[in-house]
Amino acid sequence: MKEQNRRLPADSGPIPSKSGAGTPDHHTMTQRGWFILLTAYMLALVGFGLVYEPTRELWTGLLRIAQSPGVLISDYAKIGGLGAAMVNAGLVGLSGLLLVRTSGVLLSGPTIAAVFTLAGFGLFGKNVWSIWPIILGVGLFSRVVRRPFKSYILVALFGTALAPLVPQVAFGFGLPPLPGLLVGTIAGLFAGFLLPPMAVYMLRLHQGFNLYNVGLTCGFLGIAITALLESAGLKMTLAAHWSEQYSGILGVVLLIYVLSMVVVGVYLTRGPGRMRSLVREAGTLPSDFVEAHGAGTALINMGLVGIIGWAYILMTGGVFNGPTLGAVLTMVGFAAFGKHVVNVLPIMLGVYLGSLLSVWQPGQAGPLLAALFGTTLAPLSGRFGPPLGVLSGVIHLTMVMRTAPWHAGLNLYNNGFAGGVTATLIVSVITWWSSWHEEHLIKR
Amino acid sequence: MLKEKQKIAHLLGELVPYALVGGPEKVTITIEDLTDVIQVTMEDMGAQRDENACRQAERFLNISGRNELKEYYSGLVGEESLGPCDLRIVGMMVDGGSIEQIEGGTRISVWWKRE
Repeated sequence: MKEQNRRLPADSGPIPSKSGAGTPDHHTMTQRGWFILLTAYMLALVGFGLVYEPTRELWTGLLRIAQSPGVLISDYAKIGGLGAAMVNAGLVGLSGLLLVRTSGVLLSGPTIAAVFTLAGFGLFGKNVWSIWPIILGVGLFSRVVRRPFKSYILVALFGTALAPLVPQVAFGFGLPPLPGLLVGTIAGLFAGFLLPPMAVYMLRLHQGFNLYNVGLTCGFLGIAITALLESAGLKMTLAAHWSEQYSGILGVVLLIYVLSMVVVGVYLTRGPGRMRSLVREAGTLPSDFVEAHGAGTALINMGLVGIIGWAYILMTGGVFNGPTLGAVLTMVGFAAFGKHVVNVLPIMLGVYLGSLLSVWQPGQAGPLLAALFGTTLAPLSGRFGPPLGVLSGVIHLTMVMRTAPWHAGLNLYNNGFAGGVTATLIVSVITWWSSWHEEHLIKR
Repeated sequence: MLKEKQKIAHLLGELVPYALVGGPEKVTITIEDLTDVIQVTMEDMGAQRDENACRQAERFLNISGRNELKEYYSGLVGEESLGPCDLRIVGMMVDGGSIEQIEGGTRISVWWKRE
């Protein structure tokens, strides 16, 4: 090969080096810095839980959470108490963070999204043991195909959407404890093993316009697993654990949590950072905002997107509880990987308008979660404009209110599943329209 | 080799639309098997290109060490008919790349070590 072709790019900007150390300018942060910051955010959840709940209640709460199937919607604040739910969320997030760190994978947009998503769902569906069989199943797949585990780490982390399968099989079908645990673990391993090839294929359906792609994957797999279990006479039902008593304190805690990200981001960038260029991105997969715009700007965006989620809950009269807090944490995480203050708003407006025009109220559990998690479709708005974003939100609402029973709540990323179906529908029509339009214009 | 052939085909599915966006009069593609390295070179003559967009695309081509993205998002290579057309996914699949202005056009080269 000609050596002159191997020249370095003209502007290295904030793109991390191969070692992952990053360029130490005002916009970025070292890997060590990111690790410390994310650890602090996860430990803040644990710390709040420890302070809020007396020790004895905390342990019994954590035990109840560990034994709960965790299918949608299982608000752990309702099942185990607020303190136990927060401790669980922090520990689940820390588990993901340590896995990323020990695997030698960069802490950047996608992994930050995964860590906050894990923590968020640690408030309603994932616990510190139910996630591991899925992760190990993905690890087993990587061994079989002789690829390093880090190649599939994102599928492993997001694939924990199927974590409820483990306690559901272990405790939900009346099996004795030890055989139940064994069969539940095997079921998790099996599901994890199937995820990587499916997840890669699913991307093609929506061309990267559904940010929760593993949610779409887990939706299809969840339907198959549910059908298999029900054919064996094992019935499953959706859960309805939805707390309302902690709304006041959680609203304050969430606001402080996301505001602190803006403060850290502004401190790093000494100003608004590169927000103007960030909001011009469509946000299609994979859009790593940390890599493209720097750590400080990404943190400002994460905080602002979190504030939008917080304000929407307040505006619609919804409650702050495990699921809604989890939804905002997921939004915050994905604000490092595709979502920004401009592309999420049309989707949320669409879900809001859809709620007003339908039989649902915007502040009810389903529509509220649809508006927050529906921002998985933000790239549609970013690429094709706000009107299509609003339309996507309306369609997403109608889809997501149907899909949870299909997989009996086993897939925690139900909005990722419905969003994937919605994005596939819209992308297929736009693809047809754009080629027809082009052909039509050429003929004229 | 089948895997390499698939990879080349998918990469061309990204590179060719990138070239066609500029409205070139002629596009030439060269695929070279250099023992342990495969190089794909594409020259588009008469294309209109924004210099800043070229530099950004070149930066994407030289992002390395992202194994976590390479395997997973390889599913999108050559499948993005509505995507941003900025070579960011190509950059995850290759070991390096360059974009150079040549007389009357642009030369885009990407290369990777054979597995």
